[in-house]
Amino acid sequence: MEILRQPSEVLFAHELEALRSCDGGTKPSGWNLSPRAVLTFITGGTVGDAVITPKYIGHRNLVETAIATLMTDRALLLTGEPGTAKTVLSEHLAAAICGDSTLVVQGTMGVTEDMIKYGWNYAMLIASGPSPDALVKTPVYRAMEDGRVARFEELSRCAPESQDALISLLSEKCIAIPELSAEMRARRGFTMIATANTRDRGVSEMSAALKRRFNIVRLPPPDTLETEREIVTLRVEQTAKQLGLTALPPDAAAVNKIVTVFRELREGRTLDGRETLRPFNSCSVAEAISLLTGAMAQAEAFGNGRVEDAHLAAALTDAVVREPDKDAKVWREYLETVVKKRGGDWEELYRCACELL
Amino acid sequence: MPFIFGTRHHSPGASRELWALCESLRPDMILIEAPSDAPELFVELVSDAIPPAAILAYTEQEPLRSQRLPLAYYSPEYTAVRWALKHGAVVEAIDLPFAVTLALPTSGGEDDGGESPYDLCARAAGDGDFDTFWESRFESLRNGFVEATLELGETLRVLEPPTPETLIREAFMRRRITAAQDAHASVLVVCGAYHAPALSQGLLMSDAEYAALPRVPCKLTLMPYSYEKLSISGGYGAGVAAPNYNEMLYRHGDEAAAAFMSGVAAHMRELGVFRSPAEAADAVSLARALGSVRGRGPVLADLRDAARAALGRDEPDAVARALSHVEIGTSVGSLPKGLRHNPVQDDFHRQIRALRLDRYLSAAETELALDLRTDATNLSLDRRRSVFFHRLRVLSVPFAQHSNASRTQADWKELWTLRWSPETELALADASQHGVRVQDAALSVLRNDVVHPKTSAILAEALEQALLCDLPELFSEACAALRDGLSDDFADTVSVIETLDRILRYGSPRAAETEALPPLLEKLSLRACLDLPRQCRCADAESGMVLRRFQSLASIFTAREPPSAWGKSVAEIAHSLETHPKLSGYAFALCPDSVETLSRELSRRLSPALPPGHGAAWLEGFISRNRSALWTRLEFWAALDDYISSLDETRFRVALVGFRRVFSILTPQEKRAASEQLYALWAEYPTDENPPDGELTAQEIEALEALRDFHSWH
Repeated sequence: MEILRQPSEVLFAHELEALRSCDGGTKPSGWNLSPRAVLTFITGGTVGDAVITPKYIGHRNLVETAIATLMTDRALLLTGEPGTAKTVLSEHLAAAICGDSTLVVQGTMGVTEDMIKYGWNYAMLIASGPSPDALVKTPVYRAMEDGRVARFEELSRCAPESQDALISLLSEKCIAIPELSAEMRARRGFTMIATANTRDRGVSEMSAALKRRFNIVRLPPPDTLETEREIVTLRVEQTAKQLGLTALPPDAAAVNKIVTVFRELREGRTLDGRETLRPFNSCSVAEAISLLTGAMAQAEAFGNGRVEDAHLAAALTDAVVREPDKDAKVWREYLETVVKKRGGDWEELYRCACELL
Repeated sequence: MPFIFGTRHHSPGASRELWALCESLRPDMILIEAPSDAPELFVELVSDAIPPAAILAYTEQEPLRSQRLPLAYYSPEYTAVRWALKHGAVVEAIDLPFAVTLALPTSGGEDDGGESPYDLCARAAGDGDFDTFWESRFESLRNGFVEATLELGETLRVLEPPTPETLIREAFMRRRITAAQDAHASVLVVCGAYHAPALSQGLLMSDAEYAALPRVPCKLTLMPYSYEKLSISGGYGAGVAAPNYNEMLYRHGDEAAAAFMSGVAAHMRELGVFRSPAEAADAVSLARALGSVRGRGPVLADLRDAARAALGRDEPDAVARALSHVEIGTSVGSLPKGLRHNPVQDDFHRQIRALRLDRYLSAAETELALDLRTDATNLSLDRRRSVFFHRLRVLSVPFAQHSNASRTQADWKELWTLRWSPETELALADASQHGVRVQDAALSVLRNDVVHPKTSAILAEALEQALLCDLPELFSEACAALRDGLSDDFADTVSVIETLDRILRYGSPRAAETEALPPLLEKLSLRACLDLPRQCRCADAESGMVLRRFQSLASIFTAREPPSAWGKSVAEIAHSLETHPKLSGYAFALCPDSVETLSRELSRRLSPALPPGHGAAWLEGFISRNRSALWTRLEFWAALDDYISSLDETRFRVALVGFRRVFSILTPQEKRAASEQLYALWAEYPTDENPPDGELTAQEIEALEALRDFHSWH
């Protein structure tokens, strides 16, 4: 059976090897590469004959801050809207720094403290009492033991009591194992990269004490319309394939309309900068992607298999108007002041959206 | 040979090196690159004033020009003079005098920090900007500073060869250096890095050339300065982005990063966001790591990124505010007491003469009516006077007082009351901290409102003032700021709409760029309109304010085209039972079909099913818009009669309070009309033909007494 997706250190093994062989910089202890080489691995470039593909585009200074953080005593927390490449950056950073991006805790409400620190093999525990052999090591435990990078996905989805397990772990850099009258002290090189979705705020708000153990790097949405269009087109096609949708993917004009509307509402101004709008925080890249796949599903089930303005208008209204009173007002204002004036191929969208209000 | 020390304006590292150099070299004369007409002002600035302070040069005749040369405590020029004063060395300035630079068409050294070669240089070295380039390579350089800046100067001169103006300046500086060397044994020259390679050799300016330079008479004075101004201003010594951070570098050297971070954490605490010293320490180590990733010691750019990541957390605004507070700082300089010559006062009196207002310079109040029409016989004199008065008003100079009333009567007429007093001169002296002329002082005061507006409404007011004060550039800045910073607040939006409407209505006699406003007004109108129904569902206490705004919008939309949603919003408010009844009543009176549907709406509103105060409040709103429709209608009185009869004792008392308020606004004529309607309704119309007979009975007198309370209300 073929693996659906290999980890970064396998996919880009040749690049990492090229970087390692040409690396002249000083490596912090426990690191496979120097900070500069890690930066090149993420942002792309050339080393000797090898071309390093860029894995995270734009916002170079944020990547620098992220790498610098991992050199200090604090752990790194990447936050941002859905679809801002938090996980991607986290995985590639871990792969470059310690050659292993698989020491992951996938955060959910169900994560408990023994999935973060250590658990027990209960059969052995009952048969022969606590012993090092009966101890079940978690990814964080193994990262500490080997001086590697632990990754914690969706940290803010975990219940506060499990999040709390990290506080002393990150400041003392050790796990106490009272059952064995022992403690496990992390080796040099151990650090943690966590990701958290800013939209989850309020689900399980992180405590101030925990946040203080992290340097927080907030990843912004794509810089330009072109980048965003590219990302959205690609991801919609991938998602549709996974879902087995047979409708035609939305054409360039449809993607352009959605991405334009989302960017404008998100940034609170029109692309030409002429009009200021009331900003809307909920218009993320990820939402544009799901909106378009939703429109495809609708076109497939109830239309002629082609995404039309009516589908877009319905999906847009659903996506934007969450609270009928407040949001409808802003949406209406946007339609009147911006969409109406655009004319051309926006006319149909305007008409359909107005009918729905 | 003189010793040449290349530097950069306001560089603390250069100052530190300069002091050390002076200590070892012990020069008996120091020459600084600064206008040569006022060496004694430098001495006065350093010995008497508290920095930051500036030397100000200005012309008194048209074209009015000014230049300033601000110095902070850590500026190399300041350090040079400080050392010289301490050790009895002579200080001379060697650059072209202000009298010449003010006469040059391109305003002399204003653009001295010409960005391009500096940025090119920084980019070639792989740094984002020249500040980072300089800080990472020169600020902490201990050995070979002089050689390094000389090399930098040579590179810069290759990247951008000197302009003719620069060549003239350098020829003049060499002439001054040569002259100084004749009299002194050990001469130290402190100049910009760009000039350093050119001052040791080259042609001298001849006497004839010197005599041929253009000159204007100008005055020189000292003025207090502030870090905030230093951070934005150009001027002779080009500004500096982070004056307070530079002071930290000067005072703390390598510990500046720690001082900076603890300053940021401390200011965040002042803003109510707790950040501990331990966190500040973490931020410093992140900044060091970040510096090493970027291949340098931590510089300001690294400190900023580190502070955002380590201290920002959920408070990006607080960290941004703390950063700008710590980078720029709030230091304000001061001058010793004693009146210096004040340019704003001079300008005031010059304007008074030019605008033929001399005879109003008296302590007696005089009225002056201005005619703002362009076709008036006095040409534009009155317009210029109006602009002048408005500018003085912005500066809070007590001289001309505006009588507001005149404006509503005729948009081309303004009435002013003029009175001069000693306070006028004192206020003018105060105004000199904002500029050198009335115009630019007013500009800088208003710009402050535009740059740091508290609400959109204040911004809109600044916009209006910019128009009245004839400051077109400020007007367009305010326009842009308003467009970019619209708030969501309803009260604010309405107040901006009112101001914009006023500008568009009355602004016409003043020529200014108002095209940008109608689309803005249109958009805000739509927004207010969509917001209105929700605003109208308010508590009783707020209903008065909302009604006032509603009325204001309604009157604006009768004069100009209302937004498309207006009718729909008004109808929604009129028919909803959830909105405050007073506002529903008002909205109903605005509806075009209100007269036809009045009786149906009356019976709906005057219903025992609603709270007892509802009907009266609705009536109050309705008659605030349309007074006559109700009194003359029998059906209204019938409905009211039915309603009142249906109320029980308690509900009647509550309703009475409201009705009492409604009917108190009736004029005597309306009262008479109302009572006639009531007589007709009850079919008991008393006529003079049937006057009451005979004496009143005791019962009748008692009944009348009981009604006295009601009568006395009218």
